[in-house]
Amino acid sequence: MSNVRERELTHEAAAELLAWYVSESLPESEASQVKTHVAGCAECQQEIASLTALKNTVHLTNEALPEPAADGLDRVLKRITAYEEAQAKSFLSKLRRLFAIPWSFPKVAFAGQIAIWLLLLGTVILTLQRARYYESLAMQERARAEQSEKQLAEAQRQYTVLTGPNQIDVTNSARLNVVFQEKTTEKEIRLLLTALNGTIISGPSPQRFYVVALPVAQGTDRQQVLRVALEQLQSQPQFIFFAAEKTD
Amino acid sequence: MSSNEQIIRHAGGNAFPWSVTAEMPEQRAQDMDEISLLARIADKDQDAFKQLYALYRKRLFAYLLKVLSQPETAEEVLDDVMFEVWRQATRFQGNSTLATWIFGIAHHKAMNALRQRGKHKAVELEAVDEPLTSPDNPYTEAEKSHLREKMKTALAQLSQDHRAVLELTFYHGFSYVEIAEIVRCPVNTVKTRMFHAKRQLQVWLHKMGL
Repeated sequence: MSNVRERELTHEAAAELLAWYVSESLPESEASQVKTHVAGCAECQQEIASLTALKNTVHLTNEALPEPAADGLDRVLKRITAYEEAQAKSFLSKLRRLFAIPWSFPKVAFAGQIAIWLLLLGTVILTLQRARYYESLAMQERARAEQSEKQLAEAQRQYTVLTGPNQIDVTNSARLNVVFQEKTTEKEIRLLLTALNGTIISGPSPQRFYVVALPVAQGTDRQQVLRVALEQLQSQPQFIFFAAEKTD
Repeated sequence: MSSNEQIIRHAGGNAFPWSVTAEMPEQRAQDMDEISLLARIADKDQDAFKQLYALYRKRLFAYLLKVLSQPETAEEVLDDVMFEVWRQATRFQGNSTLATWIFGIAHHKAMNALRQRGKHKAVELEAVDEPLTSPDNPYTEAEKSHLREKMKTALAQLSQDHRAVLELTFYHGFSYVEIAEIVRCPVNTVKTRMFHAKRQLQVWLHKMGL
């Protein structure tokens, strides 16, 4: 018992606890307080005697009660069995029980594994879907490229470029190195070349050299073609600064 | 953690008065045994249920009979109570003793039965002619019989609430805190009901010459 002096109960507070003091169901500390009060209270002592008689008579009435039927347990067990069978059949109740069960480490670990597997499965499915998506995009691009190639081929078939360096037969041409006057215009150059039937196939170089190819018809003297062309060019010094046969 | 472990863990908390004050060690050991049984019941152990049924069968029936006054109804409600104990075993939180929890279910079921019956007033208990066997009882058989009849008459005059408080206190030994939990009312209401029950009984017993 504590050394601290217990707080004394008032008569009213003690009186309302007497029934449980008599039935010995008060906590020890309260019972001790009531006992202290009762020791000096004649009224409470009389009440205790009255309550004790009441307790005895209540016990007396209970002693004479009949017992419950002997088959009560069987009835309840039958009911329990039926209930458990119904519960087992119910999928939803199984789920409820699963979540009602307190989680232990193995269960958490198991649930974690399930979650990881589901995550992996989800990732695989997502990856496959994305792969399928990109594959379809690639197929579309391939189809588009094939279509473009076809269109290009068709365009090449329909339109033929008749002039330009690629159209020159290099093996059957005479070539000249030409330097135009600085003031010669593009139009004048074009007229000169047209007159010669020549084509610029290279240039200008840093020294303003152009290479002009002249077609040489079969059976024609190449040197003759060159000579004629050089004469024409050299006769127009206002446009031509320099002209000579190109030698490789 | 299994439901079994959960119930025992709850029981080991500070919810019980005796777990704080270290009072009533024998009572505590008994409560722990009963809680172990309930833990097994929570794991669907029918043998444990049979043991718990045997422990509470008479006590519950006595209380239900006093409240309901009809043996047939008391039997039915006893079945309901024990079935509910089986169903709700996982939900016992250990905030009270197991006896308080079970009697709380019983009281609630009894009140429902009374409401269904449409009778809140007590009916006279049927006459019982079983012999009294307690060797400590100071009364003679004739005196016991006389007293019992008078007392039954007097108790029958009380309301259900007053009779419940008397029975739970004097026969079943519950504290006023436990009774408040069982009948689901404030502690002061329990004390007030006890006061009025005593006064009415004294008046009736006085009228009957006791």
